[in-house]
Amino acid sequence: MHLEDGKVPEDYGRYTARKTAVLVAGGLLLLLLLVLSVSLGAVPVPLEEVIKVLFTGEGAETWRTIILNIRLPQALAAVAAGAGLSVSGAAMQSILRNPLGSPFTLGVSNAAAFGAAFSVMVLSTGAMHSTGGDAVSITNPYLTTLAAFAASMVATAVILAVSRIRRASPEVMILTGVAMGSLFTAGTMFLQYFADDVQLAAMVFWTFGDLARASWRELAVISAVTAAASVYFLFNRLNYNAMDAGDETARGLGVPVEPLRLVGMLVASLVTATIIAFVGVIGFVGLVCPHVVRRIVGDDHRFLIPGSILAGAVLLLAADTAARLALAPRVLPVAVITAFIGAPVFILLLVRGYRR
Amino acid sequence: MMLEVDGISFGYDGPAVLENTSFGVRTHELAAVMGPNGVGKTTLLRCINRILRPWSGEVRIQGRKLSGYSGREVARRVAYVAQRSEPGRVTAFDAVLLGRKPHMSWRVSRHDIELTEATLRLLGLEELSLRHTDEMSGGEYQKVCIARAIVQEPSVMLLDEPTASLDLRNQLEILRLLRGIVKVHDMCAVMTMHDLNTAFRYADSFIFLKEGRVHAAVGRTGITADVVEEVYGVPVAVQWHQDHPVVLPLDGDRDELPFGPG
Repeated sequence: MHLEDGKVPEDYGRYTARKTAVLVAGGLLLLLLLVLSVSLGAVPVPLEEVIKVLFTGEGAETWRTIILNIRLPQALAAVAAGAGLSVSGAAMQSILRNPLGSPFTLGVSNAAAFGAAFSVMVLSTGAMHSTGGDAVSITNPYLTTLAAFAASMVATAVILAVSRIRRASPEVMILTGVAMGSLFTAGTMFLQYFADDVQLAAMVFWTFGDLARASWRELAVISAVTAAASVYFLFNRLNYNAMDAGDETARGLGVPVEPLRLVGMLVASLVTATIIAFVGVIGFVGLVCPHVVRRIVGDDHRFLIPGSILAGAVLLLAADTAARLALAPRVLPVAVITAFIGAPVFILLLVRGYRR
Repeated sequence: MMLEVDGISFGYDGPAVLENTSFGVRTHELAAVMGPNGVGKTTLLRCINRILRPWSGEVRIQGRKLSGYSGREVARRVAYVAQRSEPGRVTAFDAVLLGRKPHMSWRVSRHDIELTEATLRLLGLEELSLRHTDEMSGGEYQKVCIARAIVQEPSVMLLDEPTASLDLRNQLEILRLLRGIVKVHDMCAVMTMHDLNTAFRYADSFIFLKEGRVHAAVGRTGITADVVEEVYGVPVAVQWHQDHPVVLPLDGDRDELPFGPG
């Protein structure tokens, strides 16, 4: 080839440097938000105490207890769950070649809700408490989590099986997903119709996402799954770029399109099912965060994937903090706030068009 | 021979689309695969770069069989410009850089970026390098796709209808470019094409497919009215203008037309 005189163009260097700068800024914003989120709450913790406890591990016993037992696990759960939901959404949009693609489109959340309802009703894990802020609670959260996760995986398995038979085309995957979603929604309605007041309340309560359900142990599971999936998606970032250019072009570049589609779907569903099973349905993050990031850094997955991880973490952490503060001491369902913050930002970005 | 296609047979779920198809393309040669719609031109290209697995037969590049190679290894030797590629919110530079994918390990190297820059310059695309591909015209985007195939540093470049949906000026520009690239690099190119006259103007050799078989594989001088008539089933005249054959479809008997006079 007579192409030996190439050089690294300056303007391309500046262009990628700008995107890297956006990612670094996102990382700093997340750190700042994390400290703020731990500091703010029903009992405000002074910022210097937060920093002292977080970075040296020392401080007054009261602050340590509040920070390490309550605030920090919840904040980190928001970071891990937000990152996991968002990165799954980003990958699915590319895998399914559809801007509405996310594990939610494939019925994962409907299936999880059904699993939870099933465990409340049939395995009797719902119960009424007469004291405290939450009148209704789940008496056996592990069983409920397990049931929700199992149902999500059933939905995923069906889609995978159908896709295997029909050559893993995005249309087949989406349509099967929508059908599975409807099926599980109908199943949930069926259970709800025969449920008594307490069971019904427990089912509905479960579907409100709540990050306070995650303690250190749950956090460890969510973080591990999110981290593993993020590494997988990052590893395939160039494959997703190739798939964005069309299946034929991707195959011509030696990218195994069908296997990537199936494995990517499985990984994204697994992460989403794990997160939803532990903290309930939080729907908006996976759809909107990747689109916000696309508007800022474009469709190049080298930047889109890390950007989505950061954006999901930032949005869910901000929403969770707002949910705790807005009507303190009452805590709003975080999914409500996610949409309240996310939707206007998203629509504003749609109207403004892409950043040039 | 740079590329040898040896007895390829292939069909989708039903009967064979290609039957015992064989031909060869030399280094520096631009070959055009021609034939009526549905005869298997695109299928043939996909069998060559193993997007489709042929039932039987073998493809060899410089004497080496492709059947033992992984998709990635094939992609280092064969580049494919699909008829449809999706533009997106990606700059031309990044879209072309993607062509280095089969050669990359974990990350983009300096060499990959330098090669991309040189290729964009070769194709006169440096002004467009930071434009998003979804803001480009059809001709500009087609050049980006060809640039992506060039940075792949292939021995064989396959192009499916590279000039479909382009205006005359862009058609000529793309084909002249392609011809130039094939002439100065150690490679050959195979393209499918509907427009006979455009193909005759730019390609060096012509593979006519009929009913899943190679009906004729000829150089420019081998093009006759008989060949074209047999392949397409319409009466034509072939005239020579300077060194180039020109096909003129003859108007058949008017009485044969369903809306003829009377």
